[in-house]
Parts: sequence; structure tokens; C-alpha cells
Amino acid sequence: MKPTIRKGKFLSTETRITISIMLRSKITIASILLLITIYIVAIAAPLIAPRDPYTINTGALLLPPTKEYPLGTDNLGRDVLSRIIYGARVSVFVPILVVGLIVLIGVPVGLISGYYGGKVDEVIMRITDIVMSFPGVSLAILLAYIAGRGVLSAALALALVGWTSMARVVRGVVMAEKEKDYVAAAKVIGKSDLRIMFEELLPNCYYPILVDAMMRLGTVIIALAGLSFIGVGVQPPEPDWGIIAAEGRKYIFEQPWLAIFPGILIIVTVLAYNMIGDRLRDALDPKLRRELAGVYRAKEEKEKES
Amino acid sequence: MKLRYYILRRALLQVVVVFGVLTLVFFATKIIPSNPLAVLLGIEGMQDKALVEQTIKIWKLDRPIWEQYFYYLSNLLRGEFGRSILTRAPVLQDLRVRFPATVELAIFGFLIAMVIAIPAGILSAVYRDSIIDHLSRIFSIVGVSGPEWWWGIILLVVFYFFFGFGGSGRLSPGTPYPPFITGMYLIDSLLIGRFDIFLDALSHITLPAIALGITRSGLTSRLVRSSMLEVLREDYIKTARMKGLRERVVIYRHALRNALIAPVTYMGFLFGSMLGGAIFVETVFNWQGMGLYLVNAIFASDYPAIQGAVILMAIIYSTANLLVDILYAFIDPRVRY
Repeated sequence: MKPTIRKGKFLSTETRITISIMLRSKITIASILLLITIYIVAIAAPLIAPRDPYTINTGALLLPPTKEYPLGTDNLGRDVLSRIIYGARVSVFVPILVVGLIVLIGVPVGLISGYYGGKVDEVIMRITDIVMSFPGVSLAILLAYIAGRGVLSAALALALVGWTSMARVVRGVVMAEKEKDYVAAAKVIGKSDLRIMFEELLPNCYYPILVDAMMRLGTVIIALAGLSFIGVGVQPPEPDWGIIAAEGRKYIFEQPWLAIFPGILIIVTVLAYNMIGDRLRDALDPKLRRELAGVYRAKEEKEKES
Repeated sequence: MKLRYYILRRALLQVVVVFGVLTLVFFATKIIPSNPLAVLLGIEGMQDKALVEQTIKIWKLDRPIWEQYFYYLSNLLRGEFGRSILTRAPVLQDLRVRFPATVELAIFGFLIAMVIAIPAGILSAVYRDSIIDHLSRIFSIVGVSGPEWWWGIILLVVFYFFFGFGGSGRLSPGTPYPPFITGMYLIDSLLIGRFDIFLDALSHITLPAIALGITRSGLTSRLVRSSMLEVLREDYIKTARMKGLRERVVIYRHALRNALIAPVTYMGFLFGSMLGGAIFVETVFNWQGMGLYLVNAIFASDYPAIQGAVILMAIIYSTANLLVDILYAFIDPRVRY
């Protein structure tokens, strides 16, 4: 069934049910607030960071946390807190870009694979098999290396590796939907394949895409930081959470916070995305929805009566 | 479909995948806009005229692309992965030594993940919505959210720095290397009957294996939990309960065995993700495996080594998946149809 859009209401009932289920969980609200805070800090880095993240100060090498340097200084005397704040720009926003690219590649491929089926599907699925037979980020490392070390190559590499599961999710939904009456009806009135895919089938994939994208954000943050950690991502002196940890790794016994603190931020951010993604998946659980839909309907009827 | 045909079909698919992996790696260097010489030699290597000429000759860069491709394929199929720029040894020879180190780490990490995840998942399902369930779910979601290298650093600081347990590398300095039999120190030391080497190797592998295991146990325990919940709803469990069997017998004898079938399919993926994770854990623990080899190669702009390590990892991983699929077909006849 397609979502019914009521006149005079900004959002469809379906969407409002989802939002209401989401907002009933305190953890979800906390996660959303936390992410908003991180975004603001990242955007406003020049205003918030106490010092310049690039200024080398040979008079203040590897200082422990003090009032002047809340998180101490690194091996070049740079303020670690400022570097972490600036580093959030890459570590938080680049993964969003990567997931955007993953959606842009994965969704059309999944639509085509699921809609046409047969040989086209077979070929596309074998390609995803091949891409997925590289363990972890190893293929991304290779691609990023070939494209030249840097954030941009790392981001592109992660997108080129990451589209497969998105394509499979979309393909699965499309295969279940394409036999239904409304698709047949669209064919009868002469809609082109392209329009059927994007106008009829795609709206049914919105939620699975959203859940997958949410979960993917967490893994891409970890992967991107990992690429920087081993040297194919962000290049010095640019800061991101992976490279700050990599630079601090040489001093883990003297100044452990250099490597540990960026990691805590990664965990917190990834945790927030995972919590939201988890709740979103629950919110789309038909059982829970039906319950809440009943509550909604009762409420609306009451409004009508009054 | 007969089991034989299933295995045959699955094995053929494996050939296609390995061929695809080799092709993908080759064309990646051609499609991504970059100077192939810069990729092969690094910026510094390009200054050396003799080296440039030699590289063009080795990789046949002056020939048409399809000729390069067939040359590349025939080389790899003969096991000729080229020479590492960094170690100056044939890449395959380097990897032969590194490979057992990574596999040993991955297997140990796998065992640790299982030891944590299976009981956690079962308890979580049996005592659903209790405090145990909540704790185990929090642990699993936090475990998944942390990068492997971060867990590695934490473990190294806490256990090595404060308690002197384990440490960098595969053995303590001064401990003699066991002779190369399998390449896995835990096994080799036992084979020659040197218990002291075994204990030293064991203390060194524990921390990196935990770092690998923590992140994977989260995913696994969730899977065991949901699988167990599903099984506990089945009719045969109700029957067992109605027969008056004790709850422990119902859970351990009837439910558990069935609940662990589904996670088996996931084992291949798990092993592969450990090979991937080993890249980071080996870097932190200076573990001389394939992952560290790859990272060192990146810093040295050593393309033959990078290419060899990545291809070998993909082949190991897809072979592990092949074995798991076949194993699963034995356990659960339904997949064959």
C-alpha cells in the first residue's frame, strides 16, 4: 500500500507514526541532540577551538592536559583539543558525503537489478560478489592508494566499495514489489520502465534505504578514520580523528590520551548513529506500527468529533 | 539438487569470483586517473631513470592494455606476484611467512569472539528483557562502535603498561623463534615441545586477539540472540516443555543446537572481517602478519606488495566463504534446493 497523503497535513500519517515512535525513546532523542552538537562544533570550529590546529610550538611538546591545553599537546606542540575540533569536520562530514555517494550508486543499480532480473541481475550480483570478497577495507585501501593518498580518494574508495549492500537491499524490496498490481497498472497505462522504477518502486524503498544509510554512516566513520590511521586517508598536517590517533600512537605509554581521546569521539558518534538506526528499524517493525497506528487513528477521530 | 552438484556449482562460482578479483585489481589501476608509473614506483621512485625503464619492461606498460592484462593474469596464475620494492624479495615469499601469523591471529580472535558471543547471546535470549539482556546488548553495541585499533591501544595501555602482560610483536625479545613448520607459533612451539615459547606466544596473541574479538562478538551475540529467540518460539520447544523436561534440558539440548545453525552462515563473513580488522590490530601490536605488511607497503609506496597482499586476502576470504557454504549445505539440507 502506498502512503496516503492527507490534505492540509505537512507529513503523511505513515511518516508521523514513524517520527512519533522515534521520539518516544529517550536514547534516540539524546543521540539526535548529541549529533547536532557535534555538527555545530564541527561547523563552528574556528569560533570554538581555543587555538590554531596547525601552529607548531616547540616550547610545548607533549604536554599533559592543563588549563591552557585542556587535552595537552602533541609531539609538535600543537593543541590537541583544537585539532580534534577541526578534525571533526573531516571525520563527521566526509562520511555523510560517502553515504550520499553510496545511495547514488547503490539505489539505481539495485532498482535495475531487481526490476529487470534475469541476466542483468545475474551479472550485477556477480559484480557485488566480487567486490564483497575483499575483506574489510582492503579493497578501499588499494583504490585509495591508486587514486593518490588523500581524503578525497579515501572517500571515493569507500563509496566504490560500499554500494553493494545498498544495491542488494533495494533489489530485495523491488523483487518483492514488482509483481504487485500497482506496477502492472502502471505498465498498462504505458509508463516507461524508468518511470516505473523511480516513481512507483523507489518510494517503497525509502525506509530500507534510510535504515541502511543510517547504519552505514557508523561503519564509514570507522573505516575513514581507519584509512587515515594507516596512512591512505587524510594527510598531515590536516587533522582528522584517525590521523590524530595515528600520530599519538607512538606515544601511547607517555601520553595515552593522544590516541585514546579521538577514539572515544568516534565511538560516541558511531554509537549515536547506531542507536538512531536501530530505533528506526524497530519503528518500521509492522507489529509495533500497527499498535501505534491504532493510537493515532483514535486520536484523529477524537479531533474530528470536537 | 544433489549435494555434489551444489558443491560443484558453488566451486565454479568461486572460480568466477577469483577471476573477477584479479580483473578488478588490474583495471582499478587503469580506470582510476593516475599515472601508472607513480602508482608502481611512488613519487621518489620516478626520479630513477633506470628503475622507470625496468618497471615499464616488467609490467609491459608500453604494450596495449589487453596484452598487459593477459600478461598480468598469466603471471598471477603462475604465482608470480612480482618483487617487493621494500623487502626486495618475491611478494609471495614474503606473504608465505606473513600469512600464518595473520591466520593464527584471526582464528584466536574468532575463538574469543565466540566464547564471549555465544553465552552472551543465549543468556540474552533466555532471560529476555532482564538486566543480563540489557547489559549484553549494551556491550555488543559499544563493541561494534569502536574501531579495532582503538580497542588495541586501550588493551595495550591497560594490560601491557600497567600489568606487564603481553606486549608488542609475536614473542618477547630474547625468546627464540620456533622453527617454521606451520608458521603459527602456538602450534610450532608445541610441536617441538617448547612449552616456554608456547606460553610467551600465548601471552602475546591474547591482547590483539581480544581487540579483534570484541568488535566481532557484538555482531555475533546479537545474531545468536535473535536466532535463539526464534527457536524458543518453535513448536518442538513447546512440546519439550509440555513433556515436563527441565528448562535446562530444553534450552541446552533442544534449543541451542538449532539456534546455532543460522550463525554458521555468518562465520565466513566473520573470518573475513577479522582479516580486514587485522590490518589495524597488527599495526597497533606490531604483529608481523599480512595486515602490517600491507601498511608498511603503503608507507614505502610498494605497489607489488600492496597488490599481492590485497589479492591474497580476497582469495583467502572467498575460499573461507566457499567452505562455510559447503559446510552449511551439509548441516541444513534446505539450502541445496
